[in-house]
Amino acid sequence: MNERSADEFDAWLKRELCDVRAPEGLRARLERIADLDDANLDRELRNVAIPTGLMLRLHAIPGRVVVRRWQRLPTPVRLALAASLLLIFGGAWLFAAMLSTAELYGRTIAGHDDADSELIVQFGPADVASQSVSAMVEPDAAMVNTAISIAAAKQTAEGIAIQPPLDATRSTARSAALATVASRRRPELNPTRFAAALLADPIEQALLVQRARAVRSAPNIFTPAPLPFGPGADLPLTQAEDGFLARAGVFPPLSAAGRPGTSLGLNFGVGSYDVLRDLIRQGQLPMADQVRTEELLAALSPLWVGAPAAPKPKQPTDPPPSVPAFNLTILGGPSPLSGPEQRLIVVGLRGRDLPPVGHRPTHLTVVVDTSAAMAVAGRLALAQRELATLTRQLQAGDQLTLVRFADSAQVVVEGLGPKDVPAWKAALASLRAEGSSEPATGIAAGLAVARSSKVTPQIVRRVVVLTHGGATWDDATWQRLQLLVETARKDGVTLDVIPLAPVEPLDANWQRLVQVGDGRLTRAVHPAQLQGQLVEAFARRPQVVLPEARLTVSFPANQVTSYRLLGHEPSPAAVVQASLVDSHLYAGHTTSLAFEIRPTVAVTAPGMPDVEVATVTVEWTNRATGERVKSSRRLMRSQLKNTLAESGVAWQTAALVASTAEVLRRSPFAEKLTLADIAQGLQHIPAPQAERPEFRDFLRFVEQADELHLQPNNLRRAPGR
Amino acid sequence: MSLTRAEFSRLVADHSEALYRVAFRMMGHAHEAEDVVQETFRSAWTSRERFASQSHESPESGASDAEWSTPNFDRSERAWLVAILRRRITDRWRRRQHEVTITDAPDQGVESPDPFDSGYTDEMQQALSRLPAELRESLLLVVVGELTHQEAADLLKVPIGTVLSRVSRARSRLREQLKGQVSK
Repeated sequence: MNERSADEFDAWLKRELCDVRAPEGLRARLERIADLDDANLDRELRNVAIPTGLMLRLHAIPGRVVVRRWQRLPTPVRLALAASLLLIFGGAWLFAAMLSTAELYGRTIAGHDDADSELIVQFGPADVASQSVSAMVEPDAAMVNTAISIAAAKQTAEGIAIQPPLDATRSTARSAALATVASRRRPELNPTRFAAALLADPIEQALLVQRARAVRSAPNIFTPAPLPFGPGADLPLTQAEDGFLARAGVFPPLSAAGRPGTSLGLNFGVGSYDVLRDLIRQGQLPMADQVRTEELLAALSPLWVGAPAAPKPKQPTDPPPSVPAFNLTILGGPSPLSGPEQRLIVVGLRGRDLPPVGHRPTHLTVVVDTSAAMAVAGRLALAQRELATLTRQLQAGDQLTLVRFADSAQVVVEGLGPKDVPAWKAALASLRAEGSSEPATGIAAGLAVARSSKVTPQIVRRVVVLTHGGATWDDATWQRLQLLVETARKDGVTLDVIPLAPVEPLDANWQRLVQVGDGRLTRAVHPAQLQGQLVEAFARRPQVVLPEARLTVSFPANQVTSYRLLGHEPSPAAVVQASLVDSHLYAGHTTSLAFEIRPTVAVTAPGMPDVEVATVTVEWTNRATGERVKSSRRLMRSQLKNTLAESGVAWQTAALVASTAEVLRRSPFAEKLTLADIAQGLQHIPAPQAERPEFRDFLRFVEQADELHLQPNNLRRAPGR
Repeated sequence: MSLTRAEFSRLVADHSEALYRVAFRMMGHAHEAEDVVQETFRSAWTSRERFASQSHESPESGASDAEWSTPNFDRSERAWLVAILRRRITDRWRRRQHEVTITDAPDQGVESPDPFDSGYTDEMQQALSRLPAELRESLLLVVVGELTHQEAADLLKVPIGTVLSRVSRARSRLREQLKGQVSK
């Protein structure tokens, strides 16, 4: 609406608002009341009709309100009673805890009957000598390690660090066992019986069983075993190669003659770097499965992946060229890992940055689930982090409101504008995950706040709900909620829902709800997704630059003998995410691939014919036509430099990042390399690269990790499949 | 002596209407007034053990207003209930500054007969809303809640003279407000 029509609207609104006919006799009544004496004025004050039904409700109170016997006691007596009970139960709990710790020695704490007898997890507290722990776990070490590794892999993906096995506490052991049950590794384990053996709380038991069933009914994770590698099922690993992956924890070299290439869905995670940094800062070495090479490369991509550059206009009179949607960076050079005959190739795919653009003034009400379930997998932390970045989109006239809910809802802050960024961040930081979840309450509160916000025709009002998505309501509740959403939509308020749920199946009613609310339902697992979806919810500007993107890398067999993929190793969580979560390339985000290749000609010499050694193809869906679109780039032999010094700074940085990940993963291909070597290599990187904060942070990370004395006997890798 | 069900029913019969009127005049919203009165009686029932000691204390000295002359209810009970009501209203206002809690089915705008469609209720409510809070509260406690000036003074923790003065000023201001509406 332009300025003139807005003014006309305001004038019309004023006329309409003032166009109220005074009831007949009103003036006379008012004159009469103004002249009343005190007694009559008081009588008018008391002239309030009593609603029908009030008396019935009040008389029914004694039947509905039960006052327990203890509530009738005088307050001092109740306080004394409570203190006594606290002492008694506290003492009993302490005594039981001591007994329980003592019983850990020599007893199992996980189920061990009949069909479930395979998994026996025994751990003592951290101060128990390692020999005694080893002795206890010896009979089932493989099983314990499997359980621990699955827990570790899952926890890694979810951004939570756990203690290593020798320091394992009872809770770690329990979480390992739970992870095993809630996976498909041991389909013979009965989740119900296991939950009953491990968990006292029936609600926790039910949750575990629910999760186990959800995971088991998800697309197959472990068969055929090495799904993430190769273009789907076309190139499964052989049994020997699979065994290698299981033992070494990294992919084996593959013959380019037999399998000329590999194709992968995109992994945009960067959480592994955050987890590793936190662990190293705390003086702990990460477990091998917590190190994800591709995520380290992506997290440090600003150091080596170029931003999409606009092509130069051919003629000065040409219109300014549009910026391409992505930049594909391919770098190659000598491998610091396996030997002089190997080359290391890194591939980075980065989506175009989308600067904030003008949008209609928007009042966005963000409704955040702060129930205890949001603490799982770092969901609330993810929401807090990405909601903080939403302020970059704020323009004059925009407003942000934050509503949190668990079993009840609360407006944390309301109507914050571009100048209130600190208040918005402080409000986000105050969120804590606790209590049960009642999304209906939260949604209703969010809609109520949005509807009651000051309305001008120009302001767009939207509500976006961030929840774990596990709502189970009866039909009546859904219907009531739908009515509420529909009413709000008629009032101009739309509703988006973003479940932070990679695995759990969602109730179909969510979809119906957002349809009624004229909004969208989109899952978000990693930061790029959530950030993109929040911006889309706020500004209604698409953030996906390449929908359903896929990278394929192929190596001609006459130029490359073998190749080895670094990173992308299968883990239960990673595979589940890949299968259930979209692989769109979002604005400003990067995904990476790294390969070690063995060219047929070891050294590139002047005068040799230049040939292609690798082709990288990006494939995506054109949403307008529904067709798949491809774009390829080639890496030529002349680009593979023979020495580190010949290679560019970007490649050197990427190679050192990939090498760090390989060393931390205890890859057998990185046995000759130490973190001290890598730190030394990083110190030779020149300015201005060396002066960038991300670079300095990474150098400090490598130096700190080196101080922890990574030794081969620190291996904490699971035996794998 | 604890409150029995029969006595509770009598309390409801004797005081609920006055309490509702006070709540409505203070809050200006029928549904909220209804809820707050219900909360008041729930609190009264929950703490019925304290009813005997608190409600049957004789009024403090100075309670010799004209209103004493025709009591058709137990004044100490009324003062006790009004005190609870005032706390519930204050709680609600305080909570409403920060919190929106939906505990019931959403309001779908169901049409219902407006119980306030007669007399001067709406104009009166508008005029009341323009009074300063302390004048409005004193006036409502005394006139609508039918407390004595001394009971209102005890409840508001101010001298009885202040209550007398506030009620008088409130009436004058109210009249001015109404005259103002006539002249518009």
